[in-house]
Amino acid sequence: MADMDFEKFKKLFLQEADEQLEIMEKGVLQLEENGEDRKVIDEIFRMAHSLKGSAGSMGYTAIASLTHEMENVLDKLRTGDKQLNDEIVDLLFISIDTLKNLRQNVEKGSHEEDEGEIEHLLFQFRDISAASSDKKDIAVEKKMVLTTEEVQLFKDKFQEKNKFLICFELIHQQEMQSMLAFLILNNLKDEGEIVKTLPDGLEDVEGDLPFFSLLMGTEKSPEELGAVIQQSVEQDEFTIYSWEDIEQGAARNFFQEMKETFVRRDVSRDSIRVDIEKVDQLMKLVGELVIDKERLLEISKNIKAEGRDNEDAQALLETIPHVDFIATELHESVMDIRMYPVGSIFKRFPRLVRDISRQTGKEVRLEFSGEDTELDRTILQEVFDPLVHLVRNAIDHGIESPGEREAQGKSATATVALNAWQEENNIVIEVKDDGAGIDPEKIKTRAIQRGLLTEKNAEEMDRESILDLIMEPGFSTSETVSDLSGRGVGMDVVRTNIEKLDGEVEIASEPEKGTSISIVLPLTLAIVQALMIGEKNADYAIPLSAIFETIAVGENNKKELIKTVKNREVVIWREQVIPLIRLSDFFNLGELREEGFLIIAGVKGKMVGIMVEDVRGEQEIVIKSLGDFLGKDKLFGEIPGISGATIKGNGEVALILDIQGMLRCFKKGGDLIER
Amino acid sequence: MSAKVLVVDDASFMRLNLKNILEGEGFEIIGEATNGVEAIQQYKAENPDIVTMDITMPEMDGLVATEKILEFDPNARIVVVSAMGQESYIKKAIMKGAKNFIVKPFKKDKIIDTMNKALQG
Repeated sequence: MADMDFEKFKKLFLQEADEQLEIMEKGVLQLEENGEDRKVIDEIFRMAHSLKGSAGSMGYTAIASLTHEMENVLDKLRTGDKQLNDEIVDLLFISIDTLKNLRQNVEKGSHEEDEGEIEHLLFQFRDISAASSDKKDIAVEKKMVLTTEEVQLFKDKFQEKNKFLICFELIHQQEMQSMLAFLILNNLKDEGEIVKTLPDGLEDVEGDLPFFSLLMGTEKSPEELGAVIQQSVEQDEFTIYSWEDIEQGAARNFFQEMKETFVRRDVSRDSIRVDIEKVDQLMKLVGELVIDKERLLEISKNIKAEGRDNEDAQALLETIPHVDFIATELHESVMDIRMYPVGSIFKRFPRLVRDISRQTGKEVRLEFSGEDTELDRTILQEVFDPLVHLVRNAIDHGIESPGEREAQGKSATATVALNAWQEENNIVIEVKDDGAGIDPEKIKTRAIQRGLLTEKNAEEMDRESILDLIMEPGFSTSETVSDLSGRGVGMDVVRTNIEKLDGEVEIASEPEKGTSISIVLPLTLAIVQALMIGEKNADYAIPLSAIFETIAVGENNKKELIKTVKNREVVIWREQVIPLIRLSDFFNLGELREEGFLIIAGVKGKMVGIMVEDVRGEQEIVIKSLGDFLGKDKLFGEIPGISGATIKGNGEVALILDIQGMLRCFKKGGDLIER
Repeated sequence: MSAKVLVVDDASFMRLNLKNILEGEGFEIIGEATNGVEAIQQYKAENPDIVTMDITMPEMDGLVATEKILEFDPNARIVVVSAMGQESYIKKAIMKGAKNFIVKPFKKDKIIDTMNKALQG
């Protein structure tokens, strides 16, 4: 091409590219605002396609490759093979920005062939394109069911003709199974009339389809049909049953196998969409049922105790355990419905991480594990913001700049991992980085400056408690953060939010190696086993998970158990010295009790002895937010030492003690800070 | 007697690839076409036993070419060649009368198997 011509073409190319990019950008904005819209996607696709074509013919390969990958992903969106998500929208935006830059380079006549610049974008697109399809597997009915009416119609219609059930099991063909089904169906249509298929609407099914079957009437023989089918699949991938076979149930094995396969592979579980409010309502009702069940259990105890021995009483005693069983099962089933994989919130992180690392000039690779770990939906929603906070902190303050990292012999690209796993009755979600770690000495200094700690206290504290200081309110403010490889920003808020969910935050860190912050959450809120205790005619509940031992305190042992050290009462328990809280004192209920029960409770290895008047026994309790009782404007988290309330079997309200919160109040009272 | 094949694809790389695979298994490549128009011309001139038909091509795409060839010869055996993720095109081609389909990227055994099955009909 002559130079003159080339310049002419180039000018035209630039003009067109401007238009195309503008339309693409407008389109992606629309997608971001309004979600998936076929027309808009088509438009963006067309623009990317045209740009690819013209860039290709001009020899601008970077633009051509990038638009090519965009096209691929857009095509998947068009066909419904992929669902639009934030990650894709984001990637499209960045690509358009990059294309604009590349276009500028073309105009300036500078070197456009810098594939390196767009390489990571290309990889991201390829990842998305290669990832498995979002398309849901079809729900396969487990068995072809014909109504009596259908059978009669079928018989009447074909009378003397051949009636066949053809069952397919694609054992050799793994790819494009639904296409093969379509091909077979299409070929068989020429040989007779297909009256029913399994799954229904076989021609519209997409994706994996190892099993399918069809019922047809035809004048052809089984051999003739077999020959047609063998144009598409192997001989051992199908069986043709005659009407007599069907009536004798010969195909039963096929359906059985099909059912087992689908249950085993879990690909085609029938599912329905349910409004979450309905599930919440169901949960509430189950909660009420559990309360009534507890009431019934109490009644049955009374009946037994009083030895009432008539027929009705006996019947009642027999029925109650069954109600107990059913209520427990029902509770578990409903809980199960509410479970969601944590992957559903992990998905939102890649974009966030990219944005933050861009802003901060760090290089970060995000890793996941345990995305399938399930957690109660309500908890999961509440945990997203704290996680965002932790990830932001990790990148912003934990991870060093690429230069610093290389100087330390680390790879320039840092890793932030979001890991989730189940540990007994807890779910742990960990944010782990390989950044600078937290220096305990700097935290000590800071805490002393802030008046959270005396130097004497500081020396006595173990490493873990020191790290926990960063979660103290007022520990750090944003301007002090960087010199502490700071983690303090809002960490108190994170802790408060997690504790509202009855969870804990654990910090582990090693200077230069990195930091791991774990959020430990209960599998589910709502219903827990608790020990009921009494003080001054009121009942309180302590979650059983926090209780280590219950000791009756009387004249004989009180001097051994309870001592006074530095004007503070402590409990000597298993050779440990732990603080003592008298419940009546804690809630200002008046007189200090000398005798009663001592509840040894602890969270995260921090122990406390709680002195109470009476122990009433164990019970399943339904946790209700105190907001329910105090009006919507008040947060129960603001009442120290109380995490919620429950309704007892007899309809009275009992407060649920928050051991962690009590410990914290207690510390503020003087243990940690001596004022 | 070895089957006579007409290979239709706009990409010379793909044509070469198919040609090598098929010739290695005793098929005879009697023609190559780079678009739908050429495909129809060559079909009429060479009367092949079977056609491998790419779908996305300039001038005239594989769907139209499939339709036209089958109008000319209702017994023509056409195997469509398509990329993964283009199920809707494959379906259209099957409805127009294509005998079978091959999915890119190619697997040698699969191609031979598919070609043989299509030749049975």
